[in-house]
Amino acid sequence: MQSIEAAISLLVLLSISASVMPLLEEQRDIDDSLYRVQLAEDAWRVLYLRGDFRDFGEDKRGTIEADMAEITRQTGLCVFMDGVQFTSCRGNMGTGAGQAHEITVSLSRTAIFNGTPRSFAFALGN
Amino acid sequence: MTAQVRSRRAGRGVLSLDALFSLVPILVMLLLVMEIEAVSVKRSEGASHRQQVFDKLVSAADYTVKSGAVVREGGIRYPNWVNEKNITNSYTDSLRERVGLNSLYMGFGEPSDSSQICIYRLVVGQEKAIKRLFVCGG
Repeated sequence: MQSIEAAISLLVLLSISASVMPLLEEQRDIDDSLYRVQLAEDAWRVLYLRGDFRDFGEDKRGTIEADMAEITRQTGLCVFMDGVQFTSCRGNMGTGAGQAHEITVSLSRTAIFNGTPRSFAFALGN
Repeated sequence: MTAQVRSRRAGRGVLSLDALFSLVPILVMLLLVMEIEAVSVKRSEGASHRQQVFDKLVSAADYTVKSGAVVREGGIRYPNWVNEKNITNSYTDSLRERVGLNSLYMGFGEPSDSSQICIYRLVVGQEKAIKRLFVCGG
């Protein structure tokens, strides 16, 4: 009888340890949500300062994608303009499963594209 | 000594031994709980400190790329267009004091000290080349 009690106590002790230890193991990540938005704003602003949105249109694809590629080279982040399909990374970009690149932050922007105001999402992703 | 008395004493001995064996797991559990609590408090303190440092670096970097070290022409300031000459030792020292950090590094070069928390902001330099402005501290 006592052996059974001891075994039950040991099992309870082990199960408590097993359930608590993983909680201690996991590291709380730094909350960088605001910082990611700032980085996306930076990427947009950098393209603007380099004159990429002057006469913004399909003709500018080469210049803009080269700058986007430079941002990707320096940061490891993909840059994507939804609506005009300018990107620095090949493959689908999105938030759902099965996407080649996951969007981590997206900004809504309006710009004159080929002479017409156009809204699109400017996004950064992994 | 009668056999009855001897039997009663033996019974008490067994009871004491039982109590002792019951106490051991209870003490072990208490020690375990106290240890877990201590480790948990230590970790949450560390995490909270890291988050505080990170938030201060984000603020310092944001101020720098929006106002502190930007190019100004004709009274207009250009966010994200950074003049590295504006990032002097006295500028970083005064910013470090204002945000309350022990150390603060700012520059276009990636720092070699990996013990510090580092972030970067995307900017253009004087010649409009795309650069990363590193802001590190602890």
